[in-house]
Amino acid sequence: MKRLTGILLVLMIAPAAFTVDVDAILTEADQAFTQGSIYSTSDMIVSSNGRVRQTMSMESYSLVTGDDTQSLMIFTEPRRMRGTAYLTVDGEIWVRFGSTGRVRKLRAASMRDSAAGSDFSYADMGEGSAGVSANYNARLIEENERYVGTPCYQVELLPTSDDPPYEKLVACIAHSDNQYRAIGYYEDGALTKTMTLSDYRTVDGVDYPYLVRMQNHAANSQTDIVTHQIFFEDPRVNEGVFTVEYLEAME
Amino acid sequence: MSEKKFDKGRLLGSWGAWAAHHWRLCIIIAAGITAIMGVGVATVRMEFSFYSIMPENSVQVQDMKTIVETFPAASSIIVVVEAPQGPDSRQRVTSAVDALAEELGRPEYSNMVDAVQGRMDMEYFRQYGLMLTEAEEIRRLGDLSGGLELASFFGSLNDDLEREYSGDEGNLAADEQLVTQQFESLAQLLRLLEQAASGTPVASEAVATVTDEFFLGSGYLLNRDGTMALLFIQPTFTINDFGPLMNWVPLMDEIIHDRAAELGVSAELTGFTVVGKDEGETAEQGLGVSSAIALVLILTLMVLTFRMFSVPLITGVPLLIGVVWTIGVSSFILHRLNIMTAMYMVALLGLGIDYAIHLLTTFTQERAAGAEFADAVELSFRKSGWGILMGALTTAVAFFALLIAESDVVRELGIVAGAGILCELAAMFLLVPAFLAWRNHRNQRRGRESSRLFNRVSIDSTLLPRLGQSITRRPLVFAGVALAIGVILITQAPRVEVEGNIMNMEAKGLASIELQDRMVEEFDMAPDYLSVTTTSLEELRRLSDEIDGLASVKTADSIIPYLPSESEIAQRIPAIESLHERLNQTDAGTDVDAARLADEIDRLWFNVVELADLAYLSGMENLAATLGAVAGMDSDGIKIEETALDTLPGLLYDLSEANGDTPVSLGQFQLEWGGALKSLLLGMQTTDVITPDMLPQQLQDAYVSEDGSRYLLNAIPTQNPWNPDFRAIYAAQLATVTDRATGMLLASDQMVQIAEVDGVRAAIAALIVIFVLLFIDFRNLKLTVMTLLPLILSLGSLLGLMAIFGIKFDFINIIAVPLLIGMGVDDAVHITHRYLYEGKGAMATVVAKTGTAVMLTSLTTMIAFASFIPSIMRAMRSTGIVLSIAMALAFFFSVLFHPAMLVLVHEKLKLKIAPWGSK
Repeated sequence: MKRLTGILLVLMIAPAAFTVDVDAILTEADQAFTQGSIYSTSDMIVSSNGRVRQTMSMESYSLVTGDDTQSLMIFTEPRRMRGTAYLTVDGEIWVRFGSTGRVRKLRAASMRDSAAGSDFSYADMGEGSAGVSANYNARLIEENERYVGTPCYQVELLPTSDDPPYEKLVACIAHSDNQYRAIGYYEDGALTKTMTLSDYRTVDGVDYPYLVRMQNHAANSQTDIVTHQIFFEDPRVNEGVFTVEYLEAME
Repeated sequence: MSEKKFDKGRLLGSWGAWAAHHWRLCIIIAAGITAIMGVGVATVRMEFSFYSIMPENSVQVQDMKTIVETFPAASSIIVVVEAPQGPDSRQRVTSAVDALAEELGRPEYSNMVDAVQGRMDMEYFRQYGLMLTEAEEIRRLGDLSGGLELASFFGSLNDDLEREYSGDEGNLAADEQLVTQQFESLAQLLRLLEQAASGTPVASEAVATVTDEFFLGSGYLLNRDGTMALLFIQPTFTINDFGPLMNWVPLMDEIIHDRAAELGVSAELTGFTVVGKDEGETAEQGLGVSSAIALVLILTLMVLTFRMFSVPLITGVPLLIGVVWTIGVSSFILHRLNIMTAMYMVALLGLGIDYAIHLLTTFTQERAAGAEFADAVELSFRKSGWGILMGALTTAVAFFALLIAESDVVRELGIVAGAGILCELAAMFLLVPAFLAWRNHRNQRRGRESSRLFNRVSIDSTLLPRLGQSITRRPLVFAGVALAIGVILITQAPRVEVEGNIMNMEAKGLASIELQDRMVEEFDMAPDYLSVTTTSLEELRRLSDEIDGLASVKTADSIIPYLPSESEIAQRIPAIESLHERLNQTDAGTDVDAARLADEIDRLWFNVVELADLAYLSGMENLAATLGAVAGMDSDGIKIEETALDTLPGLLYDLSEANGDTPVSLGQFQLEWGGALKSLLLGMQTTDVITPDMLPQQLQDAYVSEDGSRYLLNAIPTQNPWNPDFRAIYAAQLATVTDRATGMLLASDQMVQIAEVDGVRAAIAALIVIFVLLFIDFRNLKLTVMTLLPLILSLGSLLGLMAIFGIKFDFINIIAVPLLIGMGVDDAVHITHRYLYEGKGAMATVVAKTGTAVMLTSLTTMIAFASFIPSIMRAMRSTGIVLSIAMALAFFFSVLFHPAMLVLVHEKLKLKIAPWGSK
């Protein structure tokens, strides 16, 4: 009897013991994006119909304070866009035009709108800073999915808000390091965008994807963000950077 | 074992002897049948477009056909007019559109052209323009025209630009063409203003024109840089009317090309109707070339093999007569040939000749062995006739099994293919002995007892006898190696793909196809899209709202933008009344606030430059270039020249400092411009509720059915929807809104799906039927299975090779599956029959004798199929490749694997293969 009880106990415990803790995996995967402050330099390469349309260099600042994420993106190349900057603060977006020096608040943009002509939307950028899974409920769909040969957890993320930018997300998180490899974005019943994250490098103990690619399947375009340098908790990132006054004072 | 067979053979032998003896009668009978079938040939319709083979029982296809038949503009031919890049491109292209519209509108073309639309009917917008404008916009127009002063206008324009587009490139992208045209008009307005401010009077017409164009647009459908424009021809026929389609579209093409050349522009035709015509034309060309190649090569091969110059007569005439009979039968039953059944006619040349080859091979072998003419004919039927008959019957029944298919096109193929086999069999059985006898009669009359040519006949080669001996010695090796190859190839079969892009099946280099991609690039407008119809305006409004919001849809085209809802009307009428009240109380004056105007022009420079940056950032190159030109900047944003935006502020500040001493011409300009604006806006006075019958005819033709009961909505995609990956998104998103979307896109998907389902269903049915027939014939399960095995290996290997070489299945080349099943079994059947006839230990003879004929028949069949390969239509080329591979595989497994298996089973394992009940 004891033996039978033991077997039953093992059978009952076993599934629990091997159940994947999706939330823990997502927390680890989101770690790269939820650092308190980040300063980075990167290139943004936008392609349409297989042709490179724009290659732009930029400096990015981001600061997470409580539930708020503030970000500033300043274009440094090409010459035409030099000094053009996008500031996101308190849910509002401000733009400074390098060519005229004027600062304008954007009209209430939809979170689905393209950010700075890229294939990333403001929602993608915002979600990135708060962690991809921040506004979603997660469900493990497949424990042993393969993404480009890499064994992954396939996790479905269903939105918790009333007017979500996407119907759902499906993320592939690698078994080996619990990092995102790909995230599919679904709108109106179809996979419209896919973000792939690769070239993970460890910076200050954090694994960060140095190449993030957003493919827009509905527009046959893609945007690569190739990170050159990244610094966490960098002194250049402070509250003063995320102000309209800072934009106005820019030269 | 061969006693029963001998009886069957004797019956057929008697037929051969009778036909040879009564050769004149046979020829007369054949001529009579041909005359009757000739009526069918003369009346058969040739429908070679893909549209004509779409599955009739599909709801999507039925809806699409309803759209084509009931919406007058659904068959519109799109003319893409292009002028060389230059400063006058826009002028040249718009003049050409007007000239072409005038040319095609001439009464002598009224039999083929119902209407031509070169530019939008602006009169309607002059009357209803404000009712079609959102209330908020109308209020802004009030600000824009406030006081009918230039300074107020530019001030409001700046407010608008800053409010509407500031930093919102998504909004800018949606209106790119409109915004580009508006800024071109603005640049012209600034130039005129500069002229007036400099003291030079501006002509009233110029002011009126620029005001019109700024507010209403030009009415032409231009691309981003103004080098291309679209013209729509509404033909009197649809894609269903094959005769007019094939005759009048080329005529229109010729008229348009000639006129365009005179005007110094180029013009190409595209759209669903033109693609249909091109499909028909390229299919016709392909079939013509393929038939000629197949016939010449097959008959050349026959002459070389049999060393008889009369072979083209003895085999070629019955072959062609068999094709004529098939077309006649098809015409009487189906009234038409489609692209698949027409392709089958070429294939039939390769199939029908097989019967002649088997008969002639045995005949020549008997003659070479010393038989008299009459005996040789009788023996050829006796030895080969039953195999031919069974092979033909199994093939025909396999084809007739396609009648269980769901789609009309596969059923039609079943009827035509089955009938074709029987017609060819009948023609060969009737005419080959008759022509041989005629030839013999001529020889005898000339005093030649026997043909010297026949004396030299030797179609035996050393290869096949040696192969037969090798197979007899090492059956396990041959069976094992062939089986291993088959199994390896079959493992690859699951990777075979299906062609999702119907455009990849069309001929390469067709202007109508290439223009589809260019239209997406230049006009953001794909000529193919999905449509939905409804009888309810409310439903149409809902569909329009929801479809417009889909990421894969650029715009939902329908009458909705021209048909404000009740709530919109309720909001707009007060706004229009208020605007008109303001305008009625205001008159344009000559007093210009030069300082304020200078400030606003200065502010406009900032807005233009910022918009140019946004356009650049978003990849809107033409808008960026237009805005850059307004601000005098190059594509890198570097200032390269002064424009009116630079000079005007200085000029106006100077005037303001001159204490009101503004030139008369500037005051006059404001007066003219204010008057034109007032007149334009007051002209839009109609506040009636707009109903569909009030819309301009061109809009009604496009979006309202002829009887006015249905409304059409076209979901214009963001990309070329023939891209399969994009189409999946586009179709899936539309499916979330409606399950009634239709169009060639979905119809072709359905076609592929049905062809796949039908292909599998027909294959299973054909295999069952063939199995039953063989079982009845052989009355031995082992032998039946063994005879079917080469066919199954061939089919699996074909799929494997297609996967390996990346050849995709499409709804045309899928014809290979039933054809392979119907014909691939023949080789093994002939070998089995000959083995049963020759008996144990005679496999070397079987392979040497029947193998030669089988090799020849396989070669002729492959020639017929390979004759499709030079075709310019890629679907035909692919079919040629797939069928040639299929026939090569059938030969390979029938001649190497099947004889080895027979020897193994019957001679090594000593298993019985004789019919049940026989001794």
